[in-house]
Amino acid sequence: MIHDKRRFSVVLAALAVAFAPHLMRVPAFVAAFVCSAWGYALGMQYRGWAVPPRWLRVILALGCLGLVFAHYGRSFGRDEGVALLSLMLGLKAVESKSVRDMLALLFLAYFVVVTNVLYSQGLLMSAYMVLSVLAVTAALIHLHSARPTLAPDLRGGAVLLAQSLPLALLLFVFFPRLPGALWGVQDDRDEGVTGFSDTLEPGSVSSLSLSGEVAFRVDFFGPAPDRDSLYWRGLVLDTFDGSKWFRNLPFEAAEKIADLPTDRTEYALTVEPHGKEWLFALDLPVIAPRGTVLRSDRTLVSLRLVRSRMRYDLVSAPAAPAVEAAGSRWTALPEDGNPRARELALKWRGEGRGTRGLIAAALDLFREGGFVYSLQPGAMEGDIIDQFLFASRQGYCEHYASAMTFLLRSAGVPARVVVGYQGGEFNPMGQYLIVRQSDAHAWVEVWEDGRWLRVDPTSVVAPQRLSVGAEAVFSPQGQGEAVHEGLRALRRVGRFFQLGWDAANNSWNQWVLGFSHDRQRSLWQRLGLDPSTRAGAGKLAGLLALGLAVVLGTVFWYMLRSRRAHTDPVAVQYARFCRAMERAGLPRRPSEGPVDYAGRIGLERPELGPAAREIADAYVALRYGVRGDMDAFNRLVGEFIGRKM
Amino acid sequence: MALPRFIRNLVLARLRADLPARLGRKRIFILPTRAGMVFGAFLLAMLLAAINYTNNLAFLLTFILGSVAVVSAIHAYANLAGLELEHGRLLPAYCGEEARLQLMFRAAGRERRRLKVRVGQSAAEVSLGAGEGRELDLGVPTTRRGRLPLDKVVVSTRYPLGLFRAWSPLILPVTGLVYPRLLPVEALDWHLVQGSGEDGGLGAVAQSGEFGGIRPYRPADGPSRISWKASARGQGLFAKEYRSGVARTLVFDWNEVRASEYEERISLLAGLVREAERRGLGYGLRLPTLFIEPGSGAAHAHRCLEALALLPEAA
Repeated sequence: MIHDKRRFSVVLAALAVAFAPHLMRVPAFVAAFVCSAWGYALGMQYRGWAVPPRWLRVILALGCLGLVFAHYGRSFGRDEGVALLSLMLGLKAVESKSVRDMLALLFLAYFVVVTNVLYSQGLLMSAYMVLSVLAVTAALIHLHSARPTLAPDLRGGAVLLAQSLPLALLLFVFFPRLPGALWGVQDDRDEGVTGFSDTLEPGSVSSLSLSGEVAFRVDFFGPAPDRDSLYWRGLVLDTFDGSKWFRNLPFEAAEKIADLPTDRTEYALTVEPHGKEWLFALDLPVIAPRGTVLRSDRTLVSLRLVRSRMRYDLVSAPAAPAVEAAGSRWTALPEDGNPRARELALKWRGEGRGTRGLIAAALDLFREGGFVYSLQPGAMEGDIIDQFLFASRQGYCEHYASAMTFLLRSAGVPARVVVGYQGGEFNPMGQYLIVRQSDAHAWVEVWEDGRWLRVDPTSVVAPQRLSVGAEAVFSPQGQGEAVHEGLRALRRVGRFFQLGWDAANNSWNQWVLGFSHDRQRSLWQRLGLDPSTRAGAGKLAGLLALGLAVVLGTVFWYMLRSRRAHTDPVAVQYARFCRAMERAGLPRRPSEGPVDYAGRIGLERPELGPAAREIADAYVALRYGVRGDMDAFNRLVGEFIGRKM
Repeated sequence: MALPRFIRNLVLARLRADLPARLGRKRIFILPTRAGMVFGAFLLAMLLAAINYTNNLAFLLTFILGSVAVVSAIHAYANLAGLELEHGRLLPAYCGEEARLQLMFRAAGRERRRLKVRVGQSAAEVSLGAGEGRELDLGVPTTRRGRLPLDKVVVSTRYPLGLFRAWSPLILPVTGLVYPRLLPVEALDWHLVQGSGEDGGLGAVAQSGEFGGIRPYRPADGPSRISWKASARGQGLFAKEYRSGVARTLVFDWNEVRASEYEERISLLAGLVREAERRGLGYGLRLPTLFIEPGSGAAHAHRCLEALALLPEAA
């Protein structure tokens, strides 16, 4: 039995802080077991409940183990590990007898804090993890300090942590990052991420239109292009099977360009994990960053699935060269279906229109044919192009892009569907662009005059989609509903905080979570260091040594400096008196006791003599006498300092 | 220890400290505890996981925990550094009893938590506020009479996290004295003790240790002279005075003590000195090489006992 109940409660409290985020993640029976085990352990301390016998503990442990495996099946991953760890926390608390057991519990608690990384790496969670580390550290100190109260140890933990942070940051920046994993990583994280798929059918883009989730963020190195030319290419879809568009292109890398075009945009794009291989780039990317491939259709793919946030530097230019649209691939359509659309296209063609003319005819149809931009166009089956063009006339961008490509191909013009994002929200607080899932978009590219011409049919149906974004178009305001002025102001304030929070998260993502091998290298390069050369590595080591010396030296100096004892009220008051006399030009000599000092004051400054004498007497009475009067001493010193000298 | 003698001497010379001693850089050692090593292994595993998953938050947490450990080592060091050992005293004890070691520690400048002071098998713990001084009392076992060199004193701490232990071994210039082993009082053969000049054994002396009155206590009197009855009235301490003319002085003579063995003889003489001092008698000591004039009081008793303690070993 631990004799000190308080210390045990403190350890349990620290465990609870560390475990709290897992409480909702573990299965209910694990949570219930942990809580009741801790309750029983407290009962053992405070109510003298019996220690469960060894055989019972063994049965409990085996039973829990069995339950966990029964619950999760045979696989073993993150959730199973955390569940087992939680069970250990419960069992260990019940059998904790010695300081060493409590130490083991607190180490387990540190481990529990670290496992949170597997679930969330957001700013809020990270802040909570640091808080948990503080709680566990304070409990460790409390275990070793033998202080009767927790507050000084909590303060001590905060000081310890604050002193550790600069060192931790230094190590974080300098510790060499590897470009890849040491050994194979089987990532079992949930794939429940939103984002579009590699097929386009009615509803595949509109289903994203209300999701405020961030798809990627962009930092422009230079002026950002206008909003309505922000077309973020994702995938080129070449094949239509009558109901959906999909990609059926052989893999072919784009040719390297010798010189970068002058009319170019440079930027860095940080894509959120979506579990697929495609990446996004502004119309049209001309280089492939490390770890990616630029395909001949000017779309970018990652060599590995994008399972973690990924940042890459890009250059785009509208005038990038294109591969000749050869063969029948770009005009191919299913043998039959959608006869009315084919008929219309052939009619247009019969009117002798060129490619430009056909594009204009299609856009005119959308503009003047009573088409509506809608999120809920209703279900369509069978000849979906015909239904859309001649019956419902309601659709989202995928309907327009799909119908237009169909019309153009029917007329024999090479055309293709491109899916990606359009627009984005500029965050003034972080000077970057946020592109959300709601900005998902689909448009058309037409082969004309030796290049692929971008045509966006949505622009004629809903021009505001390009200027303010889909979210605004479908908001109550965008729909023309009246909104109360106060509500609008409230929304603006909310927006402000939302953007600020996003900016904070973005900085966290960029500078902490996204501090990769590449970013570390570019940091060294910006400092003029090249770790691959001997001299550069030497300088880097020197820099690290200097940093360590400064950081640790500061901690050393801070810890070893003397702190005057301000706890003794008599000494504090007397020191006030001495300081006042020092200001009056009569400092106390180190060799002088209070009585001698008062005597000298009386000789040199007779008018102060009696008061100084009184203070000395009160001091001596407090220090060496039987009955000292602290209040009188305080009053005397106060009066002495208050008087004019 | 299997170290060559000269290395041992070098190490010992380094640990030797003069009083008052101040724990400084040169004599503070620090190493991880077992718990600290477990913690280190756990950090290493975390670091490997962080590298493999290229997870920067895991990196950050690992480095935070590692830095906490490193900084805690500095805290442990600071908990010892600058600690002052103002004085150390090893009080005399009879052989077989524990000698009291009194060590006065002062926490210069800063607060100190959970300092463990160990001498041999005996240990004590102390926490000091900033500037506070406190005397620690430790028992040192004694096995033979004579000079008692003080074993190495080790001041150590695991504060704040228990991951590191900082310690400072001190070899202090403190030597104690172990009086001869006492035999049971019944073994003392008072009647065979001859007085000097006058005749009479202890029986006569015991009667003649006559009470002569009471006077204010003087520090030189020794605690055995205090008249507790008189002092209890609360007007200061009073000492009993014995009429010196009446009290007979005794001289305990080496050759007169009936003992079969050398050490037993010494023990018997020591017992007589103690008993005579307790009864407030005047006594002297005649040893083969030394004669101590009769007298009384704590200082005199100590002189006699010291002379006995330092007698050479049996030839």
